[in-house]
Amino acid sequence: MVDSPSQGNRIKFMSITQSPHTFTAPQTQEAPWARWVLTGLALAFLSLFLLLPLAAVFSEALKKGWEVYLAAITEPDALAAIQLTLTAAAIAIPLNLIFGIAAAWAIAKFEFRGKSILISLIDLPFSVSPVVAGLIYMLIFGLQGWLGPWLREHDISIIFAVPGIVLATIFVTVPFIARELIPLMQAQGTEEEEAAIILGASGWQTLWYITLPNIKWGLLYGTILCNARAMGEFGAVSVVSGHIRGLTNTLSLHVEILYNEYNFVAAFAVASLLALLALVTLALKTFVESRVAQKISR
Amino acid sequence: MSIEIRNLSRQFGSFVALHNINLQVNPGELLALLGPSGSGKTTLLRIIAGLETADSGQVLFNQEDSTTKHVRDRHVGFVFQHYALFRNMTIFENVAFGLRVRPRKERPSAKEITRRVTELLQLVQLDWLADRYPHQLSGGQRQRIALARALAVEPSVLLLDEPFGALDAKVRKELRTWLRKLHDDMHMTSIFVTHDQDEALEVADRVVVMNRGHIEQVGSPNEVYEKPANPFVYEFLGHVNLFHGRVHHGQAWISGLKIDVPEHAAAEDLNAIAYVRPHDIEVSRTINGEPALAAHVVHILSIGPVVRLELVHGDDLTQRTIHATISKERFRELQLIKGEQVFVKPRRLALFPNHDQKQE
Repeated sequence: MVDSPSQGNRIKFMSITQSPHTFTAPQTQEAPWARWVLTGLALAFLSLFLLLPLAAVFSEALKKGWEVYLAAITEPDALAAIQLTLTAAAIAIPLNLIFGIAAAWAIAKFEFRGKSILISLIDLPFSVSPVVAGLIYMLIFGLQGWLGPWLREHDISIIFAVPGIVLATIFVTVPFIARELIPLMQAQGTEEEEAAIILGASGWQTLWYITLPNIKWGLLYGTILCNARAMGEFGAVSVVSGHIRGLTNTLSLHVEILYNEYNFVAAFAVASLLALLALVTLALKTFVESRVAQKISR
Repeated sequence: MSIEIRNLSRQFGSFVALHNINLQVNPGELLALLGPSGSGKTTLLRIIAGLETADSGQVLFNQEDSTTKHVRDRHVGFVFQHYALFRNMTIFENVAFGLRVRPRKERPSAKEITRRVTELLQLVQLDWLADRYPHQLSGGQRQRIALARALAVEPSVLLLDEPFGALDAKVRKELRTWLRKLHDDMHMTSIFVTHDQDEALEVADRVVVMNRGHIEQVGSPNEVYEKPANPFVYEFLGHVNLFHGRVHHGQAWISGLKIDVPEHAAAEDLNAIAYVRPHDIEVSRTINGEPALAAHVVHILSIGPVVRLELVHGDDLTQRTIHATISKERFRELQLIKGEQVFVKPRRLALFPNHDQKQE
């Protein structure tokens, strides 16, 4: 799930949400050479475009030894970037959790006017380029933007400051949790909730004891993907950040700056943190998928 | 508890689900809402439960208007067609749920809850499954747990939506006998929805036959089966033979037979349809002087307590099939074999003149 480093050695998660399934292959018999060629091609492709770049990140990062590596990721600007990335994710994920559950609940369990518009809106961040998303925020909150004069009067800074980065992160991660939950909740229907309410449960009790336990794995899966995207986001954040070292630099932006300064070892060292995050996410995702598959096969 | 439905209507877009329904449910009775899919029976049940709202009309519980009461405050027990058991909870927790979610003041003690749940699980004869999860149970077991869960909150009304619809034929039969027994023991006002006429006629005290958002007939199983109010009820309840004919001044001509129908003495040359149940068709080898239709035996099904005959009447152009059911004794007496000619006549028929359209 890791594509080749591009745009300042960024490692990004592809937003593919596969539904986990168990596969029983029919006994089709291809000629042995065909199987070997196909398998070989696939492995060669994966090695060239995924494994090799990943290995390159770590080998470049450790080229001058552990001490240089550690120094690169513990210098104040790098630590500030780590802190900002974590802060943005820590704000974006809970907000998207609440919004995702609320939106999925509304879409899956109720009929109302404008439902298809809401679904399209949720998908918007998938279809709009992150750079455009960043520019939209510039247009709204920037100095020359619609709310610019008002914000300046009240001494509120959003663009080139932390709030802008958080907003951009929230924008690009909106679909992940809602999109994961909607099909799951639709498939589960509303009968269990109806049964709970007839038995006297309040709305909160129904949400807490019935709805949430039924979607917990989907929720976790969506959160993992959301987190990966929040921490790896580059485009939208790059536009609104202003690249102020130690203040408005996230990890991805910090990598770009270091790289542009020909500080390759440091750039790769910081990039390796993002790569590690990717690997951890991948492992978590695989684990959650296997749990979901078990649930479904029961 | 008595339930009364007054002038209830409900529309989904342009589809009329219920049109001006009036119905009285007596305390302690087991009532069946019977009808084909789309007849509005489930919508009516869900409105009584409070899961659906009516566009107009009232629902009264014990003469008290409960139309706007929240589901939670109606104290109904509801059983869903697909059980709707809580999949993340054990069977014990499922049954205990209604007691556990009560406000602290009204909630029974943990010991009391355990006692009540165990008692209910014993009532549905499934106490040995308390620690299992719903997916580990068979359909019939799940539906009995769903019933126990509904009864746990001591509802004043029990509503069942196609309770046996998802079960196989044998379990269905067992469960409906069991439900009837359970109802006789508890005497709780109960309403169940079904599209299976056998189920309704066998289990219910009274049957409400519904079609296209209307109530066609309300009566005891015997009444609706023996005296159907209109052609729809006749066709919906059990197998029938349909004949087209004419009626004029108390006499009907059906497929060339002249039959006296004194109750239609006022009819003036009207088109009519006549229904005859297969067991009301008399089959004989000779004409016996009375008018009868000649027919050929094309199929004999002699499995079970009765023998079912498929007969064909008329020549190649006008031929029509007549289904007749006769007793095993009668069948032995007649010694019928395939292809033989017999004479049939209706012993009893229900005639419905078409008042809208005169014979041309």
